[in-house]
Amino acid sequence: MNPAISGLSSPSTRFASNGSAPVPLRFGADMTLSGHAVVDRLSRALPGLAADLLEIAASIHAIDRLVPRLTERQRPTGVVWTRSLRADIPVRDPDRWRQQIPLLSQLLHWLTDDDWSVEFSPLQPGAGMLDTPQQFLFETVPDGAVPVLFSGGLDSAAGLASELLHGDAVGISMHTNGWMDGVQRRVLAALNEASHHQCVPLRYRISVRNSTEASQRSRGLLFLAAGVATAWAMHQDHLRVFENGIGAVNLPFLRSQQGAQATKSVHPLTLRMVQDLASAVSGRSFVIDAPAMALTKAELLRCAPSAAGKALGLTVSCDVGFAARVPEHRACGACTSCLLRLQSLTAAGLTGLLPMDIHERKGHDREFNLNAMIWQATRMRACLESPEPWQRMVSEFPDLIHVTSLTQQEVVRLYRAYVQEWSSNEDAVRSRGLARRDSRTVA
Amino acid sequence: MPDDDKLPRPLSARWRRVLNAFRAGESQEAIEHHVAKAAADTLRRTHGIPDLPALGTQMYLDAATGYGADSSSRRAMPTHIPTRLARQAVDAMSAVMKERLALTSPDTAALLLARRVVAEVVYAFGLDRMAPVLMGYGFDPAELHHRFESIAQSNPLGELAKRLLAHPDGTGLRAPGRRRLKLATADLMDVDIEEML
Repeated sequence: MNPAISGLSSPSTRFASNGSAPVPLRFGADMTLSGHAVVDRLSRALPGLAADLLEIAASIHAIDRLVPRLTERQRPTGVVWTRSLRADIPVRDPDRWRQQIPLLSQLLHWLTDDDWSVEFSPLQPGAGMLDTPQQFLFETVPDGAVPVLFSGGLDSAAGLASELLHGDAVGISMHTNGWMDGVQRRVLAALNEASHHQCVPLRYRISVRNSTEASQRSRGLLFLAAGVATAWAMHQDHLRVFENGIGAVNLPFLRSQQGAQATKSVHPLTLRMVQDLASAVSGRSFVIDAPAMALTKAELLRCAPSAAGKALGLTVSCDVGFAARVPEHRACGACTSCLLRLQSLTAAGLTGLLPMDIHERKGHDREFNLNAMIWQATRMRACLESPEPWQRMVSEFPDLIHVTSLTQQEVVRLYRAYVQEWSSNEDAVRSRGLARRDSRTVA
Repeated sequence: MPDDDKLPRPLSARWRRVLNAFRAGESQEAIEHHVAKAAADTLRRTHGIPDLPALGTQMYLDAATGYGADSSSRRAMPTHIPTRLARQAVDAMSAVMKERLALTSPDTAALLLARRVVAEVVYAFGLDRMAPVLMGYGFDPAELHHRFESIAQSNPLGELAKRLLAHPDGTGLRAPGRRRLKLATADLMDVDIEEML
C-alpha cells in the first residue's frame, strides 16, 4: 500500500486550543484518513482541490475530537461550551484556501460553537493523506450515477431507495469503525437487492486515536466534504443529501440548549454554507440538494418503496450505537435519535422495522428525553394553533430564522405534520419503549 | 445521521425551589414570585446583559431600517448565554414584529426586549429544564405550557425587566417584593386561605 494513502509518512497539521502551545496532529499516528477504496473504484485520483477539502475536514474533525470541552458544571455559570481552537493545515493550494478562511471560519463556528482560527501552509507534492501514485484499471461507476451521501441511517437509506427507482447512484459514506462500515455495507447490499438500478458504494475511513471529546460537532462537515470531494472526482457539481426536515433543522428540544448543543450537521444553513464554500473555492457553482427537507421522517419513510423494507430494518439511528466501537451494539432506545426513529416508524405504520432489543445505557434517561420531545411538540402545537402560526413559531423557536430554504408555508406545514404525528402516536411511543424494557428484563 | 443532542438539565438551588413549589401545589402567584427571585439570582450570577440597552436601540433601528436574516445567521454568537439569548430575541422580534417596533420609541423597544429576555432566561435556566421532570411527576404538558406562559407574562417578571434595564450588568438586581394582604384579624375569617399563601 502507498504509505501516503495510509497516512504513515504524511506531514502534520498543527493545532492549539485555548491559548496553549501548538502541537502536531500526526497523520498515521493520531489520525488516519483512507480514501483508497474510493480511488480504486473511481479509477482516478481525487483532484487536488477535492483531496484538500477532505483533508481539511478530517483535520478539523480530529482536532474537534482531541480537545475536550468543559462540562456545564466546569464552566462559569452562563457560558456556553465554546473552545478557542487554532489549526495550521498543509494543503496543495494554500493561496486558494486562504481566500476562503472567512467562509470556513463562519461554517466551523456555526457547526461547533467554537472560535476557529485556521491557517494553511504548503503541502509537499505527493505527501497528502489522499495522494496516490498507483495506475488505474477501469472505472466501475455507471455513467450518469447520482452522487448521494449515505450514512447508514434511516433517512439516507429511505432516500436512496427512492432515488434508485429512477436510476443508478453512488452512495458516498464515511465510517469511523468497522461495525459502522459493516452496517453501511449490509444496508447498501439490501438496497441493491431490492432495486433494478445499482448503487455503487464509495467508502472513506477515518480513525482518530485517543479522542477525548464525544460531541463531534464537525462530523457533518466531514460527511459533506466526502460528498463534495467525490462529486468533484466524478466531474459532477451536485450532491444529494437525504435527511428529513425535522431532524435536519433540529430545533432545540429545550431552551437550555444553546447553539450546537442541538446538532446542525445537515441543517439547511450548513448545507448552504458548504455549498457556498465549494463553489467559492472551485470557482464553479456547486449545488447540495436536500429533497426531503420539507418532509417529516415518517413522511420520508412513506415515500420509500415497500421493497426496501429489509434495508430500512438494517439501518442504525442510535447516537450511542453508531459512536460505539462495539460489534452488534444494540440501540439504546433512549437517545433522541432512537426516540425519533421510534416515533417516525410508528407514525409511518412500519413498526415491524423497530429493533427487537434495546440496550439502555447508564446515564441515558429515556423518560426525560421523551418528555423533552413531547414538551417541544406541545410548544409547537400552541404556536401552530394561533392565527399567525409562522410568526409564533419564529418567536418561540428563533433558530427558524436560519431556515431560508423553506417557505413560511412549508415550515408551518412541516411542523403541523410533525405535531399531528405526536398527537396520534404519543401513547404508542411511550408504551412501546416500556414494553421493550420489560421484555428485556424478563429475558 | 445520529445527532447526540445535549440537553442541559442541572437546576440551581433557586430553580429547584421553583420545581418543589410546583410539586407541592403552591399557588400560581407564589410560584411567580419564586420564579422572579430565581431569575434575579441567575441574572446577578451571570452578570446580567450589559449590552441590553444597546441591543434595544439596535432592534429599534433594525425595525426602522429593514432586516435581513442573512446578516444575523452568519454572525458569531456571544459565548455569554444571557447575551446570546438577547441577541436571538432581537433577531426573532425584528423578524416578526418589524412594523410594530418601527412605530414604538427606542425606550419602549428596549422595555419590550427586556421583558422578552427575562422570559428567555427564565426558560433557559429554569422552566424548560424542569418541564420534562414535572411531566414525569404527572403534570400535563398543555396545562404546564399554559402556566409557564402566565408566569412569563406575570407582573413580578415585568417589574424585574424594568429593574434589569436600570441595572443591565445585574449588580444589585433584586426581584420585586411580594405584596401581602394586611387585614384585621376579624377580616381574615372571610379570606380564602389560598389567597393568603
